Amino acid sequence: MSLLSVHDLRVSFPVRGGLLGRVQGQVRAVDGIDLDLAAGETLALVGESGCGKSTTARAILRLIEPDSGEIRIEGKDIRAMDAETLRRFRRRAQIVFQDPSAALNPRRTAFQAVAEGLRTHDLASGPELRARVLELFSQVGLSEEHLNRHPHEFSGGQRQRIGIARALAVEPSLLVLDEPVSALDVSVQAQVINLLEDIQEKTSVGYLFVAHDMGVVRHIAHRIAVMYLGRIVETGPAEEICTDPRHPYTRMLIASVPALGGDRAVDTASRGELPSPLDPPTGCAFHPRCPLATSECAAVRPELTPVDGSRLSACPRTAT
Amino acid sequence: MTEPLLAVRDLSIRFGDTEVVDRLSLTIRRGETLGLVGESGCGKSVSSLSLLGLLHGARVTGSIRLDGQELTNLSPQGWRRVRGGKIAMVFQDPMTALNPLLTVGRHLEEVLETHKGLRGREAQKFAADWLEKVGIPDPVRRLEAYPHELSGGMRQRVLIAMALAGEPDLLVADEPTTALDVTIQAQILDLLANLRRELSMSMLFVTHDLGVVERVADRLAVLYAGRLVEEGPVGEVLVRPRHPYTEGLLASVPGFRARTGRLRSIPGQVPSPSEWPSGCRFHPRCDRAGDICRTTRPDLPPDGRPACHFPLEAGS
Repeated sequence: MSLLSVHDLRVSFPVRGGLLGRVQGQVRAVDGIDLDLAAGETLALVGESGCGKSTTARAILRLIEPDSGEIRIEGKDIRAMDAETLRRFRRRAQIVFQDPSAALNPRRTAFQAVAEGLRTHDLASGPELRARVLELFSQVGLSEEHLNRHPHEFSGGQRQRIGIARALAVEPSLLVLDEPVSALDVSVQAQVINLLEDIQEKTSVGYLFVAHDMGVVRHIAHRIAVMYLGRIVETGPAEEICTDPRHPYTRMLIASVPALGGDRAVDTASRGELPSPLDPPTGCAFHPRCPLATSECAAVRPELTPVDGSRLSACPRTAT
Repeated sequence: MTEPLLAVRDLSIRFGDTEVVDRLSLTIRRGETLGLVGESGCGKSVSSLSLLGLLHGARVTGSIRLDGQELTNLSPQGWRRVRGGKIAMVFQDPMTALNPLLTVGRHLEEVLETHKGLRGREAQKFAADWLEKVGIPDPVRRLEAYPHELSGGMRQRVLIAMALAGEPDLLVADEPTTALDVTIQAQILDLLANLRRELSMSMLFVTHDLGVVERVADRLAVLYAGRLVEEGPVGEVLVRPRHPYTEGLLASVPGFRARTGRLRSIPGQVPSPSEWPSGCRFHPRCDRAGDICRTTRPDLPPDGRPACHFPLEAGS
C-alpha cells in the first residue's frame, strides 16, 4: 500500500479585481495531478515559481482545501474526514516550511515549539515530555542548552532544525518539506540535507520534497515529478530525469541549471517566459516556449504516457 | 604588462567598531569576468558597493584604482561622473532598484542624459535600442511600461540596459539572477556574457552560486569572513581547490558534479563579523587546522596559493 496516493487533485483560486473586488475568474493552480509515494521514499515535486508545487503540497495536507480529487494517506481518505478526525490524523502527516523564522512563534522557546505537538496529541507530559524533547533535540543536532532559547537567538540552520524536530515530534509517517533548505547557506544546507537523510534511514518516513533546486533534488530524491503550470509534465527516477530528461520543458530546465547543464544543445536553450496562469495557453501549456511544438500542440492537451520503464512524459513528440 | 582595469589594494571596510572586510586585494583585467563568491555575511556585497562609492556610514580604507584613477578620494561630483559612466551596477532585486512611479523609458533616458548628453527624441531612440539589445520584445511600446507591468526577468533586463546605457568599462553584477527562476536565469547569464563580449567590458560577478560562477567567470575569488582565501582561474579553483574552505564549499553543493553519497558538510556556521575568530578565521570549522592557525593570519601569496597554513596539494 502506498503511504500517499493522490488522484486527479485540483485546486483553484478566485481572482478578484476592480473597485468592488468581484471575482473575475479562476486560476487553476493545480490542474489534475496524480502522485504516489511509498514509505521510506523521497518524491520531489519540482518546477519554477507559480507552477503549483507548493499549492499541491499544502492541499495534500488540507492546509488549502482542494476543489476535487482523492488524497489518501496510509490508505485513509483525508478529504472525507471531519475537522476533529483530521486534527487527530495530522499526527501522521507533518510539514516543514521554507522560512523557519516565519514558521516559529518568536515569543515561544524552542522547547515550547517542539513540545506543543506532543502535548496536543497527548503523547507525553511532565518529565517524560522534557526527556522526549531532549531526545528530539539530539536527533536534529541541538543540545540541552538550546531548550530555553527563543527563535531569534538561533541561526537560520538551527531554526530549520527546530522546525524539523517539531514536525518529527509526533512521529509522522509522511513529512511534506516545502523548500526546506532554500533559505540556507550552502555549507549549512548540506548539514540539513544529511540530517534529513539520516532521519529517513532510521524512521522510514516518506518525504514529499518540494524544491526548485535541481542539484538538491538530484541528491536527495528517489523519484521526481516535474510541474509546469499546474500539471505534471514528466515523472520518473531522479537520476534518469536529471541525466536524460525527455519532456522538452524538463530538458530546458535541466540545461538551465548551471552546474548540471554542461554544453547546451540548441533545442534545449531556454527561451520565453512562464505564461500568465490567468490565461494559460491552449493545448500543451508549454507549446509557446517549446522548440518542438507543432500546430497540434496548441490544440490537444497531451496526457502523461509511459516513455520507458517507470518514466512518464506528457509529450507525444519525445516518447522515444 | 598593461595595468589592469580595476586594481583594489588592501581594501578594508568598517561599520563602527566592526570590520566587515579586511585588507581585500583584487584585480580585473580588460575584458575579463571575475567571480566573487562566498556565503552570506562574507563581505562580498559591501565590497562591491564600495567600488561604486555606495556605502554610507562605513569607513573605507585602502585603494581602488579604476583605469588609473583613484576612486577612494573622489568628491560627490567626481563619483557622479564615474558611476554609470565608467562603472555601473546591476542589483539582485530588480523591483526595488526601479522607481515604481517612472516608466521604463524615463529610467533609461535619465542615464542617457547624464552620461551621453542625449535628450528628447534622440534619448528615446537610444532607450528603445537598448531595450532591444537586452532582448525585450516590442521595445518602443515597452518604453511606456511601468516596472510593475513587467515580469521579474524583464525587469532585470531593464536594469541591465540602464547599467549599460552609459557604456561603462566595468559592470558590477551583484547576485543578478538569484531572484529569478532557473530558465530565466540561464537567459540572463547568456545575455550578460554576450553583451560583455560585444561591448568588450569587464565584469565583477558577485554570487553565492558556484555553478553560476563556473558558467560566467574567467577567474574566481573566494571570500570567507571578510577575507580573500583563494583566487585563480575558474577551471583550476573549481576542479582543484587548495583552500580547505573552498574545497568544503564545493563538496557541500549537492548534485554539482554527479550524484554523490553523503554530502560532506562544513561543521558549524559562518561566524558574524562581531565574533570573527583569531588567526585564520576558518580555523574553528577546519579539519586541517593546527596551532599556528589559531594565532597567525595566513597571507594570500601572489602565486596562486591560497591563504592557508596547510593548503591542499596542487593536483590532489
